[in-house]
Amino acid sequence: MSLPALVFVILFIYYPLVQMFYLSAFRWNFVNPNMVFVGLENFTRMFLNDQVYLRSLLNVVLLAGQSSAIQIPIGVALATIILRYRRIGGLFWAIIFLPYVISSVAVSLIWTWMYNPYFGSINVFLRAVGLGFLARPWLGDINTALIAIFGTVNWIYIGLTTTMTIATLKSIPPSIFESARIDGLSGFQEFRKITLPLLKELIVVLMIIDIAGAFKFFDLIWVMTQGGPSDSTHVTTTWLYRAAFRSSEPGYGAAIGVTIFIFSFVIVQLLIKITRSRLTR
Amino acid sequence: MKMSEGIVLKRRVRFFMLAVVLLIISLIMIYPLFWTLVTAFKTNRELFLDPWGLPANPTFENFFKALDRGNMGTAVINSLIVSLGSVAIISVIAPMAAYATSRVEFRFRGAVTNLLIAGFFIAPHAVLVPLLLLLRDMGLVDTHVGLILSYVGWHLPFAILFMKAFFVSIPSSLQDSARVDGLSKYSMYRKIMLPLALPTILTVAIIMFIGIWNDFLFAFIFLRSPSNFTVPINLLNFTTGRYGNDYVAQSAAVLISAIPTIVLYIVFAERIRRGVAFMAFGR
Repeated sequence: MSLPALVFVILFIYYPLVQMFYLSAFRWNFVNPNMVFVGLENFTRMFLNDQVYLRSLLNVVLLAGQSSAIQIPIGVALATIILRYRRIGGLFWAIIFLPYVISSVAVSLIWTWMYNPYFGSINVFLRAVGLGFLARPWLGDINTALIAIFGTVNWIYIGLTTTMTIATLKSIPPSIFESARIDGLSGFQEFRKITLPLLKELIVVLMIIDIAGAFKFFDLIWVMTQGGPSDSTHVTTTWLYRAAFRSSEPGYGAAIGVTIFIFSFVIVQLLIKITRSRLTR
Repeated sequence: MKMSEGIVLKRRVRFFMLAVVLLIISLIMIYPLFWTLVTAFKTNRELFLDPWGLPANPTFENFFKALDRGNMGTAVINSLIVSLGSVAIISVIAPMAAYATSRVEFRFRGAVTNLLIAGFFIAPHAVLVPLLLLLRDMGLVDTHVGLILSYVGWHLPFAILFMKAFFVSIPSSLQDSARVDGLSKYSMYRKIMLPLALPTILTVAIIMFIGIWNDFLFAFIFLRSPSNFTVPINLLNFTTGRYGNDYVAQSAAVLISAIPTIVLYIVFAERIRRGVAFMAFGR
């Protein structure tokens, strides 16, 4: 009964995955399919000579770091508020989750317009309040492009982080809180002794999701900046796409894919193992 | 008396401040969407002269332009074909695999389960090159069939993971009594498990539909001709070339692209959020 599913995942996930390792040792292009074996040359080039690749790795780290640092505290705070004030909380929850169901391309376009130098609301607002000197082409300025993208990222995902936190907090049986109240714990003690230990596990999970998510990040950056200005906003996936399909170096693209797989899958699995064993001990 | 009044007042002030914070965050979340909605009814001249102004003569012209010259009409039909096709296959295959790996004893069950689920942790972005070569060898580049099969393959792991959580929760006494009645594992699945699983299948189907409707990556890599484009890639295509500066028509196109998923979200908000939150626990 699991055979049809097995055929699908083997053909479309594992077969390409294995082939990726093989392809990463070759140099060729889509026009002239003569494959030249180059061994590990793609990898030495990547780590020794490709400044943009290294920059894209740094951007992935920055993306994961800022997502964790900003979304997790805000998400936890909002989740606590939503659960406390159910009536207005429900409507508020519905609103902040909304961007997550809209396609990333649509969201990227909307925010490209928000950041537009001429009619973009951010510059219009700055000029209206007398801060016109701060107005700039946010996505075209090498100093602000990455920060502008991060702003959009947080706008999309804050609702998701909040939702995951709410689901975790709801999974606590209410009897625990009742007995805590009977034991005379105050609201703050309750948060510290019951909610916080549970949240610790969630925070680790959310950080893992942020790391894995940063390596899966593509749409937003491709639509908003295509990695520019001056290749300063590339992440590993957009650089892979550029190398493989725009510069027609699929072997090099496969090699970048190998590093994405190792960084995201292997590191995340290790993190899960380490945190699981630490949390269950 | 005085003291309790003070406490009540303090609570009210705190509640008021909290409400202000929530209101500001709500405005930040809603504003870009609202701006796009208003802009879709303006002319480009109005947009540049007064970006915050309301349209003098609001018309649906931008929407017609997006659907017709912007190719959004064709794209919506293509997206419906691809999303519904993928979701249909997933809805049949995933519950079967989830049931078998959680409720039926067979050789290598552990290995099969791991193989089916581990894909959830792999970034499809990493394997774009070999995946494109695979579709080329199958003759499926620039076809909806190739896109559908790829979506099914890459969405199955989450669908199975989600369904497994449901099948594991069914009490085994139910299965035992069915076995006493002499049902084979297939008829037990069809007659007992499948009807029970329908609400869970619906949740999975909605989440998969939204994910595939919104997907950009695979369509971007595999599709070539605009007549085959799905909504997200067509949206991007509309912002380049001839209509690159027609921002008001692009705003209308963005709204058209978002309507189906927003409607689904309004109808199934609770289901969608529960399903998405599962991603945190699936790990």
